[in-house]
Amino acid sequence: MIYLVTAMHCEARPLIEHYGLKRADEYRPFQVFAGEGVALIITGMGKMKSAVATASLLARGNGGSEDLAVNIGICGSRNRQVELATPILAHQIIDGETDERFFPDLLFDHRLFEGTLETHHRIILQEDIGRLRADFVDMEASGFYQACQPYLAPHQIHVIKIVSDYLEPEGLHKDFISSCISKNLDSIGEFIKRAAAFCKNDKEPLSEEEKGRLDALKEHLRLTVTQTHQLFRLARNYKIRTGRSLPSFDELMESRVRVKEERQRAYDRLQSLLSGE
Amino acid sequence: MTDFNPSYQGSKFSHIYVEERAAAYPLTGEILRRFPNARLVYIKHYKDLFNRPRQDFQRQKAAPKLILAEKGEPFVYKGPDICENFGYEHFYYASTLLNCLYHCDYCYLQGLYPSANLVAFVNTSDFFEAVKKLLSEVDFLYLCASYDTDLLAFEGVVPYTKMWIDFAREQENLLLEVRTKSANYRLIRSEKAAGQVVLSWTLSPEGIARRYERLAPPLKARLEAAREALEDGWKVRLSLEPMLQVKDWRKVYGEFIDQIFQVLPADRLFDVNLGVFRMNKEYFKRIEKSRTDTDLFCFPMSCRDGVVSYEREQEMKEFLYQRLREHCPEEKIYG
Repeated sequence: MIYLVTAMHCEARPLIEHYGLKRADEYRPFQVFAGEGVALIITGMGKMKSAVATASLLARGNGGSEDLAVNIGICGSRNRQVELATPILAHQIIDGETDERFFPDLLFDHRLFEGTLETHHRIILQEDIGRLRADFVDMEASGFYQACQPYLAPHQIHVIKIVSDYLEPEGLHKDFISSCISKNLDSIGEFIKRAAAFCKNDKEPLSEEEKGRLDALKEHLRLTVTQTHQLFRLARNYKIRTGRSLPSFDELMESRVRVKEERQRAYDRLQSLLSGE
Repeated sequence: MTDFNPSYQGSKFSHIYVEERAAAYPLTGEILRRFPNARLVYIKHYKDLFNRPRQDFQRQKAAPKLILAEKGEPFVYKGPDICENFGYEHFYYASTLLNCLYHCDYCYLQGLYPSANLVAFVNTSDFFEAVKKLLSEVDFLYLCASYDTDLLAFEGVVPYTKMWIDFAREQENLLLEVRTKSANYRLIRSEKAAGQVVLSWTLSPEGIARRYERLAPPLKARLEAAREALEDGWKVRLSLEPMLQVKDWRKVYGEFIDQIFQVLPADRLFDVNLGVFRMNKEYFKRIEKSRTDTDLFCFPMSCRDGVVSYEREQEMKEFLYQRLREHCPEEKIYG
């Protein structure tokens, strides 16, 4: 699942259209739009709101190893050399209030500009420049990142912010904010595609069909939690070691397991089947 | 703070993270000059990056980043019991570099560290001062400088091996071990052999090196490097570990011993140590879960006193020992 997180509706609108998302009422009180493999949440402005909504969204899926979460929105830049509407991929996020540092893992090729982003709980203006540690400033990223941490690995968490102003955010119109996102949909979309592909786990040795067979076996033999855990471990190791598909379990599926001793005998047989060459 | 060039960073050291307090060290400047295209990110403390929760070691290993940092105390650690002390009472190690350029399937660093990124400490003089202090407190010190890493493999990035050799040369009661799988001996060949230093090559049979020691040089290249070091007058140790229980392991390791002594004169070696694959139980569990690309963790193992090894560990060790005895005297074999 790809989770997109924005603070405002005007930031979300181009993404909702791009991914063809529909309002999903089951996420109330949060505003969520969902589609095939994508869910977008509008959190409201500020790192606390971003953290609360992001955590709520991720908690539903419980954070899978193939999931991806991306915070997309606007930011201010103190560097006027950076053109307005430039997308910035954060390689470091500094919490402006606590000075805590967060680092998305950038392990694959991409073509976005990178920078350090500093998150503050209030709007940062030109007069605050002296106190900044980063070139770019936003109001959500550090909250978003912290909410993701219990669920996702650092390579599954990313922040893309589009430069909307030079720390003079007054008068930013919603349409301008939407256009900042719209103009960059290709590069944002390309990044998300690559990041999602990078999160795919194509090295899992057990196929879905094999997992299903093991589940059926577990039920039939009434294995304990520990035995089940060992069964999956042995099966995985068997496949890596031999390079072959799992052996037939027909004989065990036909056996009857009524008492503890019968279960142990069946489990021993299973162990011997999966320990062979 | 920011680099406005487009990035293409699926490669090694695409990013170099520099601790703010490490930025002023001359060594930092030297290292950065070697990577003019790397993206620089200034950070507060290396642990903010290195110790993040839930990092994917295996994914990071394919595109590791470099972190330049200033190490705080302690600079030297007492050697653990699981490691061979070669009969020295005061066995310590120092880690100027965390993690390794090579990616050996059996490496315990995958279970020890939360990250595959490399941390290079730039305050080397603090390490040397700490060792000097320790030297004043003990009669003789055995110090491993290439302990949780391979310093010689990294010599092209930071000349740590040269630095340690130059330091050791000035000490009287020190034996410094630099252990490596590298064939980078040419990078330190200009150094005159120092009696206080033993260069130790970790060797594995060629088939095993190719299959399980990714990115490390082939056996032949390591043997050649060790032969050159011997010729130049260095103390040379061979470290034949970890012995792996592969198919036909007797034949594989028997031929391996023959191959070694066809190249290296046994009587000129400082010593040899051997060891069968073994690992702390917790590290083993952690690595087994994350490695689906190697069969190394899929064979029957047993656990004794928190250490996992093959059920045939003693038999394998005895075999290798007896084969070594055909070439080396008993007092030169450890393990």
